[in-house]
Amino acid sequence: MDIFLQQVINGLVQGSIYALVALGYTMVYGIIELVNFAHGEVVMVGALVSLSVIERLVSRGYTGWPLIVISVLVAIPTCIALGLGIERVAYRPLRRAPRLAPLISAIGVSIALQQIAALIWGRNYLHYPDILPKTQYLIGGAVISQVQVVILLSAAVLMAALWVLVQRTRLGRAMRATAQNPAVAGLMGVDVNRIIATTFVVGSALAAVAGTLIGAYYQVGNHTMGFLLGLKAFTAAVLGGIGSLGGAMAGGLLLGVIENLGAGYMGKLTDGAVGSNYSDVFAFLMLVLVLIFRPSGLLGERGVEKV
Amino acid sequence: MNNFTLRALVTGIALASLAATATAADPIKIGISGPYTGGSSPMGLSMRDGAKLAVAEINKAGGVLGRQLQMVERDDEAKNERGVQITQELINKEHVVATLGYANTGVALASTRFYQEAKIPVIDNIATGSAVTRQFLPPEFADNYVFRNAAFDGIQAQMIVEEAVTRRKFAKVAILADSTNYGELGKADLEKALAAKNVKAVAVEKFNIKDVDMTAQLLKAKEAGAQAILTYAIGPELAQIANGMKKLGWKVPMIGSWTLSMGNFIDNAGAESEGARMPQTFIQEPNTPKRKAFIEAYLHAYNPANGRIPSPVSAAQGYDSVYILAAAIKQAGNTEGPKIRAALENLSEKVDGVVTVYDHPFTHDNHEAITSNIPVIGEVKGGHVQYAYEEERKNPLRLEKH
Repeated sequence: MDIFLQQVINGLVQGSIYALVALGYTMVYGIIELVNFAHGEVVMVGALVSLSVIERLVSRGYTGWPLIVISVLVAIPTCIALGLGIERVAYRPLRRAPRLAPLISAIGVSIALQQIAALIWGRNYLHYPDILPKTQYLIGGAVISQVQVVILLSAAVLMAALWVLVQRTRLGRAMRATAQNPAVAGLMGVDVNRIIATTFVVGSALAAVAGTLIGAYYQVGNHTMGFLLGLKAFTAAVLGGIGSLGGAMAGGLLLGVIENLGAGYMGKLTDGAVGSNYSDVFAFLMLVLVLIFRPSGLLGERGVEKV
Repeated sequence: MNNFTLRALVTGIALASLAATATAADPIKIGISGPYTGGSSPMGLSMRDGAKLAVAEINKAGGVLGRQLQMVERDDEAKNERGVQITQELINKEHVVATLGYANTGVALASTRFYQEAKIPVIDNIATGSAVTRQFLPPEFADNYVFRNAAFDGIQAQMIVEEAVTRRKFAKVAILADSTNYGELGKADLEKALAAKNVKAVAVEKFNIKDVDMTAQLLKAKEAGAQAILTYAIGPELAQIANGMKKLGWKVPMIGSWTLSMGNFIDNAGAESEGARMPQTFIQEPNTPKRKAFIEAYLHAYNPANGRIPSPVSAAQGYDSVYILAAAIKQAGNTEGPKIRAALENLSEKVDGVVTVYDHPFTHDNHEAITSNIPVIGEVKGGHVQYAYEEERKNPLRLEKH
């Protein structure tokens, strides 16, 4: 039983990172109906920028969580600038183009960012210095480390803050209005370009935090780390219902838990025929099933409304 | 015969004679293909740099057959299709005399076929998949052009099991392997070696390249009561196994294939890499004059971080392979592929290498230079791979060929 609990805890930690990244996908999709395939690369840039900051400062005696906070404070503006730049250069000129055009442009940006990152940080695996305390807590036979607790808490706080921003503020109302109908929102005095840019700002800031957390958790970074992560987070967003904030959060957590339980128990269920390396397959299979039986996702709204 | 074909014919003859006169002074081109970027780059880079040292030494001493050696190096990125592309370029455009290479079994299996068809010898210096040298065996193929100067998986799996089960008496072991050719074949070799000792792994878990989260697999090993983890994977993923154990607050010894000596395992796992054990054909320890000279030359030429060769085994095997090849070219008297192959299979000169003294390293039917008596067990101590057993450190060269 403790092993089961441990798999669930690890899944929730992994899932809360997916959820943070999935929010970036779902917000952009909700507002301009674009799958921003470059979002995973923004996370990667966030992770590598924070790694660079940590490496610079660790030799000057900074360490522990304060250093992580400093690095995330550098990563956030970098990612925001990057997100705004991508929106301005690759998506805004194509807003009235056929839907396929911005999708291709997004894939182009994604590849370009990977190669630029390879030029800056090299193609090899980079190691995050050991700076965080190794404290571990016991819950009912399972172990949870301080890093895992911080990841769960910060993801929860950020998601709550985002919820408040979208549901309770003027800006949030403008975002929801733009999502429902950009043209009418514009007529009502909403600056649609500014709202779309704000969406990218929020998504990129979350990506920066997610990148830093992934780095701190797995202690390894590489210019290709954003690709599979982006794909998983996108899956999480679709699983929960793309366009829906609650859906992205639920989808992320669910995907993380499914993956870990899949890797943990698939071998036993299939009598060794399918090994733990098939956990990704399992996750994507779930996606297919959800799309067949509930095309709008678990928490997505049924019907024609596009949010 | 019309005017055009006549002109083409004359030009052709002129060009051909030009080419013939040029060869005497031309350098002897040797291809070298390995991953210089990505997860297996420590192996590829060390092999290339080791080989370069040997080429520079040979050239300084006057070259081979009065000609200089020239290395044509290409990054195969550990990708099969890239390896094949490079192979075709090396054979058809660069006209290499022989090729050294391959850190990855998949790339080796995909690429060597073209050398076999072109009758150009190729020495695999790193990739250990047992199948690499066995694709073109008689009677189907009269001659095999694929040689290896690395301890193949069959040998390594036996050593790993010997260390875990016999020497250290672990009754319950788990296997963790990646899902590439390397991991799959290695896992099968490990299971076979365990079965020979009447042991069955309590858990057999797999993961993919670039996976960063191994906790699910480790939890199953823990649940099954594993006392040691036997690994078959490469540096970055091995590091995530070590780091994953830390996350779970569980630590058992890691014993695995020689890749546990890779710099990117030791660096990315940090303190968690301590105590990992693996078979090694060479350990960065100056316990013979030849090894002392090699280590000093390598550190002087490339000045690697922490004074540590990124993959000492690859560097030594790469270095030695150039001397073996040079001896074969000398014995063949020219650079024709079939002649060099025949010379490799019956090498009369004893090559005093870093790994061992190569005395008739290959025969027509045995293309493995490294036999089971050559590798030793290494252990990560203080961020460096060192001898696990003192008697092996004191008795560095074990020569007799089996």
